[in-house]
Amino acid sequence: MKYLGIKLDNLSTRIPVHRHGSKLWFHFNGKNHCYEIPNRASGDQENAEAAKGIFKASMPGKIMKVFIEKGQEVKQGQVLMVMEAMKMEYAMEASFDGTVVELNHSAGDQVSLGDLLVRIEKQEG
Amino acid sequence: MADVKNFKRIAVCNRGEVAVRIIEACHQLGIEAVLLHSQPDIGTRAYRMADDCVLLTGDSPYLDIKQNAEAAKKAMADAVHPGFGFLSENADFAEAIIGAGLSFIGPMPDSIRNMGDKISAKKLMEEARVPCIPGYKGEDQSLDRLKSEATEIGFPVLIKAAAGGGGRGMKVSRSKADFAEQLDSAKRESLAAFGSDQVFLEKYLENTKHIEFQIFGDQYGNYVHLFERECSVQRRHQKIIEEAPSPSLDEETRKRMAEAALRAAEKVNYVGAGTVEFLLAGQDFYFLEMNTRLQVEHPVTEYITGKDLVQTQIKVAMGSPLPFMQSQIEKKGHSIECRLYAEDPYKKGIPSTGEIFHQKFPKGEGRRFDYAFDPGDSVTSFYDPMIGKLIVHAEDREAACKKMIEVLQETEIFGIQTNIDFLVEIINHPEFFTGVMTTGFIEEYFSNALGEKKWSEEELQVVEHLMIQLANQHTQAKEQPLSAWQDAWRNV
Repeated sequence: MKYLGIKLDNLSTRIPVHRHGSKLWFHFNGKNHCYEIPNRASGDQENAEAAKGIFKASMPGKIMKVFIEKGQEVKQGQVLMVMEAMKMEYAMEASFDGTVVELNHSAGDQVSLGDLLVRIEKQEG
Repeated sequence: MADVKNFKRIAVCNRGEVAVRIIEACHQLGIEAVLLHSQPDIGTRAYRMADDCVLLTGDSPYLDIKQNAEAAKKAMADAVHPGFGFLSENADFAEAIIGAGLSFIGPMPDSIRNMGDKISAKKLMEEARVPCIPGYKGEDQSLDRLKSEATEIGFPVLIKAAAGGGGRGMKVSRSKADFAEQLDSAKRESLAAFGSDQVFLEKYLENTKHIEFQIFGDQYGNYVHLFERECSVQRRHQKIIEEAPSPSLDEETRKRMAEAALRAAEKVNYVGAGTVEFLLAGQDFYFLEMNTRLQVEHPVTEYITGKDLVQTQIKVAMGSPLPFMQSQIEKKGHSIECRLYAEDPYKKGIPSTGEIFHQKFPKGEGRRFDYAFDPGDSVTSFYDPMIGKLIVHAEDREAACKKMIEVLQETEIFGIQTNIDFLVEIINHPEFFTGVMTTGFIEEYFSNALGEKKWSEEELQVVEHLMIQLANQHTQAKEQPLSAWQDAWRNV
């Protein structure tokens, strides 16, 4: 059995892990867990959502920086916000030129998995 | 005194963890074990542990009397151990084994037959002054007669369809006043469902506990009991957690029940291990049925008494007198057993099948693990989802509960979903922890098992850590990253 080390805020431990196909099995905190790893299809779905201008939190975490305001016009590739989850940063980039029509969080906010963070709409014409 | 035979070889007509248990007992007695098994059970511990194996064929090989009897004889076995379930309480099977010149490790066929038929069993138990649930099963179905019988039994009274089953045509009458109305309703349902409106009456017992006594008889008319087990935690009449002793019996009731269980055994000239099941309401008890075989939950009795029930079964079947007298049987401490089921408690308990990749039981003092599979084996959908049992023994009930929680939380199983998290919730429930649970416990508090699985933030953080490490290892191995969304993440 493979054991991997993990470091959380106040916990450092090694836990047994087994990956089989899209399933990630591990034993943590007195329980056996089976996590369904998002496959390419749902990765595509995330990409598809980003292509429509919808950004959701793919992990629970914290909003670090917000570079935009509601109603602001953005260019394709412009960084909208930066999110952090467990010492990892994730920058969200606009997938097309558009306008910020929804912005639900500001820097410092804690967000949950699946929370809608930003929505941009394509510029007419 | 009958001759004492020396078994050299025993055929095990069963599978899973009980087959393992029997094979171990055979080996401890210096006896060879031959496993009569199905094709899917080649990948199990019992198959690897047996001295010899015989493949059975057909759709239901473990229920095939003729094939099992012939295979046991051909395998040169001296005796057959039927385990529990399957053919273990089949009088025709016991007869076929004896007819083939082998010994059946269990009671005489007549004992199985008498106790297997509910009506004859109740009649015999009444003769033996074993308390039965008061009732009326007479031909006179007039309202006046039924009402006077119901009054005699005492309300509340259960009105059951004589031809019934599965709760249909079953009504509870709480008083004389509503009796006619409930009777009409039961008769209508019964007629619609079974084509007969004949009914039985029975005292309706509420807040009952399931208490059973382990008894043992030999071929010389000696009988002993090995105290009781409580098995009130049940789902659809399937036991989930058992313990010994019961937290609910006072010493006087324990003594009366033990005496009744011994009278029941004697009445049917019982030989071998048997269990007399009772319903307990307050400190009143009523005969439910007798199981003429080894029970799934026998380990808790073994723990508190220190007696090996399977070895004793074999010795008694060889014609030896019981190796212990009543005065030599004492109970010590408290034991709890949890049945390990391959099912998903977060999806209403649907069975889970597949390969077991990893399995680690936290062995230690007062911890016992009876299990069917090793890592690399697969749990199939052909059989019952029970894949093993976790058993603990401690100085008292509270210590046993705590020890069981530890065992459950330290047990690692990957590849199939199990009911472990569910078992933890049950033991931590105040009603279980204080020992007041009744047979309605699961339905009342866990009708939906655990509900949908919710991931805690901490657990998701662990997932994230693991995914990153696995992805890095993949990248180092110059393989594709784990998934598309990983690409956007970078270490800070």
